[in-house]
Amino acid sequence: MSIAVPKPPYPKAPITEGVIHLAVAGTATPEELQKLVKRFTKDYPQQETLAAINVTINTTGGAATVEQHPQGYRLKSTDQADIVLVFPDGAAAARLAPYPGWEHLRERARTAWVEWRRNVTYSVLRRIGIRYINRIDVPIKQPEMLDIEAYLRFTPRVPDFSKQPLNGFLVQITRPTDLEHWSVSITSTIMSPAPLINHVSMVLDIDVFRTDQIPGRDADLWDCIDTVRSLKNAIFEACITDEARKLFA
Amino acid sequence: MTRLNTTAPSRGKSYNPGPFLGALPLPSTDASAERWRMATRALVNPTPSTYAQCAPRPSHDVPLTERLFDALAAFKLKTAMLAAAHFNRDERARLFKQLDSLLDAESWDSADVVTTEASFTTLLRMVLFLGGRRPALGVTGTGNFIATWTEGNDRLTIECKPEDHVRWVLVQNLDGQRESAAGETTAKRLPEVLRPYDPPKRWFPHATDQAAA
Repeated sequence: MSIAVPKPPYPKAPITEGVIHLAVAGTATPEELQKLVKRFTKDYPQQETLAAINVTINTTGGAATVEQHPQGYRLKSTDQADIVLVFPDGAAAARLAPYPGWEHLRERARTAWVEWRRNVTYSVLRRIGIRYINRIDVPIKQPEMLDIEAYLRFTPRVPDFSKQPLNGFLVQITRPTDLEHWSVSITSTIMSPAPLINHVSMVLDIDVFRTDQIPGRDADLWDCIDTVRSLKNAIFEACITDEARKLFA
Repeated sequence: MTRLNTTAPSRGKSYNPGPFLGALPLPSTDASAERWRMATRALVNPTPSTYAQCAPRPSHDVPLTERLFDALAAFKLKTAMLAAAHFNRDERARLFKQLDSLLDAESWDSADVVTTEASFTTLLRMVLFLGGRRPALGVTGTGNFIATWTEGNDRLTIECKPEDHVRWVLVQNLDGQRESAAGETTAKRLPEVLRPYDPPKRWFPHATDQAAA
């Protein structure tokens, strides 16, 4: 019996992470960031400092020093599925699986941005990014050859110098879209080892972004971001096949 | 056609998720991981769930309630990242309720070993692989999760150890005679190992079909 090809919204959407990232053309002070983080305590009770760790080893004396440099904050909801990142040069809202829909993520991002504007001096945007990371888990039984193109339309084009199958791949493109001022970076790759037993997992990472003529007024900004919703959906649909869609039923 | 070589199932090779860099998993125990990371660093940006954070404090410095809170958070994050679309909302809510109950600080003593993320990873991978009825959960004093399927007087108990290793104990009644068996294997081999008994067919037929294929 053949399985009907489902249409979006998919019952088992393969989104592992959706992100709306707003980057500003300045740098917030540590005090501003701390003030901002406090504003999020209710919705994001788990708050972590993100740090870069520098290890210095004195090759003559043998002494080693470890220094942590705070870079920002990661704030997480109680169920760990909603995340806000706060950096000196911007903020990002992310939603992990299960993905409840665009409105949920957009509202989280909008709320984060409202707080940013209230608490940080710099709020002129230099980049907006809407990024969706999808993981397509293909069940396999025993050792077999998997035809990548049966699931993905964005795959490596391999010169015909060997009949052997690939052991892995990673392809990436960046190009403008037909929506004025918006570009997209698409990455497709294999997850190895696969997170699930008896599966092959392929990742489709779609980052739609804009760096030109970003609206300054809040209402215009969110109208502008809303226009990307259908674009990122269309890009995803263009990158997958019906065989992949059947996995999301 | 672009064909991909799907690695032959290996009994000795276990899943070690390691840290992630954006979409790419980086098994820290794999010598090639660093080269892979270097090669892809310029291509793949980290995502909010994967940014490095401050190094965790040694566990002996951390009060029990904080260790339990951190463990619970790690299990929920792991569920979001590993199970992704494979749990529906109800299943996820049920699992989180079980975890909340198991890691309730009231039930723990400060000397107890808090259940590990490595054991939880095995549990999650095993449950998703087996499909069928979801098990009841428990924990051991050594930091491992226990999954239990029960039907009448029959019971299958599986202790989830790190890196997909499992220890199973089966008790069932046949014509009034009680028989029991136990063993150690990997999560992937469970349907095959338990095939002589009824539980796989009764409780996770999906995995039995896979093993038979």
